[in-house]
Amino acid sequence: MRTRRTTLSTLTEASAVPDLLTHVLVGYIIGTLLSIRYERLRPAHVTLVMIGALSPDFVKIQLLIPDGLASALLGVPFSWSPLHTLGGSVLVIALGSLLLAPEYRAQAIVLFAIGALSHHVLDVLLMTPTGEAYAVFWPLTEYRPPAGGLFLSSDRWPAAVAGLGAALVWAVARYSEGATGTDSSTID
Amino acid sequence: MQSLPAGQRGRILAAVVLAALLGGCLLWAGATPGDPIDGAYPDEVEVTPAPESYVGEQVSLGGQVVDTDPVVIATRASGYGQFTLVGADERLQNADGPLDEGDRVTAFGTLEDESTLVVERTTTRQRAETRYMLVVSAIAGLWVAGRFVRGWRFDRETLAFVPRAQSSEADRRASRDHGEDDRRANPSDHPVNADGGERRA
Repeated sequence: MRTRRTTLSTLTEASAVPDLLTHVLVGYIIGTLLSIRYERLRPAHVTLVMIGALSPDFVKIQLLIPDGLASALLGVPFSWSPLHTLGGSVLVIALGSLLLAPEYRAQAIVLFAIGALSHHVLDVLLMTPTGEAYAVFWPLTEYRPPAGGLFLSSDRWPAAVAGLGAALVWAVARYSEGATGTDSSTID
Repeated sequence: MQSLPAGQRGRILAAVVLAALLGGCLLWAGATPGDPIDGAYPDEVEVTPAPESYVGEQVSLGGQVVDTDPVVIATRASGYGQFTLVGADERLQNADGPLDEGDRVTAFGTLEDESTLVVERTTTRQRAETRYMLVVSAIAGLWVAGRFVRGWRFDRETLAFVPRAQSSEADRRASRDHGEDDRRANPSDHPVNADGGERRA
């Protein structure tokens, strides 16, 4: 049923490319604030929060391999959508943590999860045509929370606001590092 | 690498189980009605070929404006699949002015008859925004990738990523090409040195 996509709806779908930058900037802000609070968190760990913050948008692989193509290739119905739900995030995060050496995995799972959570919170706040958000808690429930209606994923001001916030926490992190005497690169 | 260390066996097993669960989710979501992301309401793909069977139902129709008084959209690029939108301009949630021909809109509402949608909400999106989004998303992806490469390195002994040593990034960069592997002859030692990720207590 969903495998028949007309030309125009493919166009509108392609225009649903998420604003990754806002998500990544928010991940940077959260990660950097955590690194100010917890000294053992270094810029490398901030990166993990940022990766977590963009991980739900791995679903955009569907722009390269649409659901219809995937199910034609596999011969069974297929949908990438679970990647953009909490259930999918849990699995993606667990898989991602396995790429790291064992002693870093528990910490990485926490940092990835913080980032992914920020992504879902922001996306539930998005404006949608139907006034409902996506089924964020899938597969636990198909309940769709009411959409926040705050902004469209194509709006530019959220990235600008997040960019200002990121510049601010970057400056604060630099200052606090200078104050505590730890030297390390902060221009990441 | 011929015989896998014990730790790697568990890791591969975990990866296989997780990948199977994830794959199962993707197949399950494909096979069950009601996609987690796609709207819970019928869209133009289902409605356009058989609008009569959706009369009285709430639907979400995406398309291009082909007439403005009243607002008419075509759900197919060919201009086929025309629906008159009642109240589209008044219910526009993310722009002020009236809709123009060529605008891309998604209208949500109740299908009153085969070609009339009484709109609850209209959302519009400009074509240029798509290009902007692709560019900034690419920048974001490269930023994260760059940070990851700078902060982490692939350890061939453990076949896993470990944080790069952190104490002085500048010195490190200067000597990165010389003997980094020598300094790390014993990879199981490095979590306790002063680098990025310390072992959790």
